[in-house]
Amino acid sequence: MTYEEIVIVGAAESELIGIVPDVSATGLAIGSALRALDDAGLKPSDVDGIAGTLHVSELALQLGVKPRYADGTNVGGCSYMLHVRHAVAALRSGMADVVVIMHGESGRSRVGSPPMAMDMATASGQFERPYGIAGTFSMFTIPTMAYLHKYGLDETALAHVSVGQSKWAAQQPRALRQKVLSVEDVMESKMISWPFRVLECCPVTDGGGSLVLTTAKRAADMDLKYKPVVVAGTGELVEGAGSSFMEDLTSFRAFRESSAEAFRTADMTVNDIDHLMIYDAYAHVPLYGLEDLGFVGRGEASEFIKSGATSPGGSLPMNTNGGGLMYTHTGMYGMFALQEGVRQIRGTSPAQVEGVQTSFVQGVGGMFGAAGAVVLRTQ
Amino acid sequence: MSGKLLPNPTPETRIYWEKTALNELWMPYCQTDGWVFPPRFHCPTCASTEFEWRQLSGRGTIASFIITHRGGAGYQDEVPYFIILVDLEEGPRLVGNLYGVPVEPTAVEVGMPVEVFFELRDGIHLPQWRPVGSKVTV
Repeated sequence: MTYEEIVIVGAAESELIGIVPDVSATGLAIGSALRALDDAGLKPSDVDGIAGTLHVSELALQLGVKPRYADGTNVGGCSYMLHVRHAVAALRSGMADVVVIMHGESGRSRVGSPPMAMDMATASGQFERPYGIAGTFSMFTIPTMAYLHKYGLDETALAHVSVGQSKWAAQQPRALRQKVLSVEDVMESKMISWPFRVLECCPVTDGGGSLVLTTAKRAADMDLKYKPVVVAGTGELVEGAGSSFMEDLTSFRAFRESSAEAFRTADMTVNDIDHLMIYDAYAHVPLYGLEDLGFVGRGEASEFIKSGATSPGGSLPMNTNGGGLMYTHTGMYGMFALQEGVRQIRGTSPAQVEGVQTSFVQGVGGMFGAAGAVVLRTQ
Repeated sequence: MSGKLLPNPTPETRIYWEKTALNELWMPYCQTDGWVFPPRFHCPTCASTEFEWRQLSGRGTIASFIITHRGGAGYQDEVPYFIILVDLEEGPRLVGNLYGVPVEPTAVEVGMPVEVFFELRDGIHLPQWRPVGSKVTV
C-alpha cells in the first residue's frame, strides 16, 4: 500500500529560548506556533488540528482555532515525536488538513506553569519516589552504573558525550552552554549524582517550539519559505513507569522497538541516515541510543563517540544543536531535537552539515518510560 | 513528620505495605508467570487473577546505584547518599537507599550482596538495604 506523503511545512522555536522570565509557558508555545505557521504563509484559521502537552483546549483557545483533531498525548519529553506520528495518521485519513504541534515550557522561570505535583499512588510514587529522588538527575541516571559495569567502562565514558556535543554547541549561537569542553572540564565540574557531573546533566531552561504538518499535495499549493521536509517514517513504544522498571538496565526496549518501526516505515536502515538526534537529558542516553538504534554494537557507543565519529567532521553527526546537554532543555526537550532535525534537512542549522538528506530523531520520555522516533528526509 | 515523601498505598498494594509493617517483604505470585511487581490484581502476562501472595527472602544484589549530592524532600541534611536498585534473589527489582557503608563510589559495586531492613517513616515501613550481616538501621 502506498501512503500519502506527509510533510513539515513550518518549524520554529520561540523567539527567545534559555532564560525567558517574561513569557508564560503557553506564550512560548503560541509564539513558536505563529512563527512556524508563518513559514507556510498560514494563519490560525487555516489550522484544523493541534497537538501538545499543555492543555490542548487552552492551546486551541489561545492560538485561536477550533480543531477537529486534538492530541494531548503526554508520555514525557518524547511526546512530540508521538504527536508527529499521530498527525501523520490523522492527515492521511482525512481527520485533519493542517496540524500544528506545539511545545512551550517555562521550566526554569516557572511563568504561568502549574506547580509540579507528584502522585504518590502510582508505581513510581510508591516504590521509587520515597527514596530521596530529588529530580530526574537522581532517577533517570540510576541504570547507568549497570551499563558501565557490564562493558568495563569508567566515568569518562559519560564525559566524552558532553565533550563531543560541546563542539557542536560552540557553533550554535542560541545554545545555553557554548564553551568547547575538555574531559577535564567535565570531570572537574560539580558533582550532582555520582557518576554524573553538572556538565553531564541538562540545564533547565525556558522555551517553545512548533511544527506544522500537512499533506505533500496541499503543501504544493502553499507559499513556503523552505522546501517541505518529508516525514519518512515514525515509531513509538510506551514501555511503562520508568528506570527501575526497565526489563534490562543496559538497553532500552522502547528505543529498540520505536526505532525499528521508524526504520521499517521509512524503508531505511542505519546506513541511509546522514544525521542523528538522540534525546540527551543526561550523558548516558546517547550511549544507550547509539546501541539500541543499531548504529554501533553493544558496548561500543562510548568508543565511537570518543573517536570523534559523532562530532564535527565525523561520519555520523549527532546532536548537532549541542543536544539537551548544551543547547536547551525546558523539561520536555523532544521538540528541540525535532527542530534541529528539520533545520539540518532544510540546510539552515548554524552548525549545518553538508549534504544532509536524512535525519533520524529519537526521543525518550518519562525517564526510560517511553520512546518516539521520527525519520525526516528531503522531498 | 520526617518531611520525606510517603507512598500512598492503593487497594492493589495494600498487602505489600501491611506485610512491610511486619518487617516482611511479600509480593503477588502467579502460578504460571511468577512474581508480579508492582503489585496489581491481575497477572500482566496471562491476565489471571488467581494468584497468591508469597514472602521473599529479602536478599539481593545491587543492580545499579548513584550517589546523589542533592537531597530530595526530607533528605536535604543527608547528602550525599546512595540510591540503589536491588535485584532480589527471586527476581523482582526494588529501589532503596543503602546504609552501613561509607558513602563513596569505591565502597560498593554492581553485584554486591545486600539484605533488606525496614525504615519506619511516619507510620509506613519502607524496605531499605544494608550489606549482608550489617546491623545498621535508620
